[in-house]
Amino acid sequence: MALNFLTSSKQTLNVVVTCDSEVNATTEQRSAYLSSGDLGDLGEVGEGATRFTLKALSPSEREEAEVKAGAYSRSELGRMLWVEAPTDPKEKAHWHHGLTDDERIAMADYQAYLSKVYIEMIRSSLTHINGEEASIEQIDMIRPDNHRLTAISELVLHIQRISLLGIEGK
Amino acid sequence: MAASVWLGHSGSRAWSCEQCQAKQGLRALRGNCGGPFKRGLPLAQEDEHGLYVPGYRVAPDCGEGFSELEIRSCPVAGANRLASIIQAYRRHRNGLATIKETYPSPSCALLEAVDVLHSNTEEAIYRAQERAMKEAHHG
Repeated sequence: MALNFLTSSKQTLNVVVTCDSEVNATTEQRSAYLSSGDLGDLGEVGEGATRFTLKALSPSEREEAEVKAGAYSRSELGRMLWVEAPTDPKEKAHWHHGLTDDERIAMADYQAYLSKVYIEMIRSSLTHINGEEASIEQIDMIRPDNHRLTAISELVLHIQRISLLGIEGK
Repeated sequence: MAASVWLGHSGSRAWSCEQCQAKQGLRALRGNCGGPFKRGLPLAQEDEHGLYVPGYRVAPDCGEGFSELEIRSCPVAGANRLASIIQAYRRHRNGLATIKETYPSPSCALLEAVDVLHSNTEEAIYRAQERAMKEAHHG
């Protein structure tokens, strides 16, 4: 059951990222872990796996993250297009091909805003890495770059799950 | 969260633990108190995310928003897991302790949960009043 949120913005959760070389899991196990946050779902997790400590966001922290990312100046046209975009990649590519230049710029602007929101969410939520105080700058130093991107997207998924009610919770 | 309101509102017509206790095998089909539904569950439908039961099937006398909700795990188990939040909301509503007293540093999820509880509780009260008026009108 996907009711895995935290009730207090002082509560924390330790997570690992699935691209960690100390994690040995199938695609299904990775997917289950990202949904539940339960390390028991992730197969083998070695002692050396990097532990990220995340706290649930309070309403003011969430708002602050959105404002810092540019919530007041983001492209509303881009947001509308982003919501309307088809989910199937091939269909989406054809749909995107048919957009005007203005619409493409608006959509790119909104995607850039979302990326900034994710970074700001991690900035607010990440407290420790392997028990030591940590910051978003340490996430930026993760290499190779595809591991950095995976780490960011997975940390955001965990933050959203512990901070938001989700459809199951409603 | 909304299920906790509508299960109570629908009374004996809603899903309950007693049904699983009375009918052998039903608990397993309903996901053993929190797991995904199993094939063979009466009235279950399927989409790309798996099996689900529409809200109006688990709580027949529910509000509009809940009726179309796709329920993918036992709502009774879900309500039980959220009992502490439901209790805090009821205490707040009855003036015994505020949400802030019970949860001094609420997460976004906690406030969203209280919002969902509140709007559904208000809707359930309105529906009960409406029904009582209709029954009085028709004798």
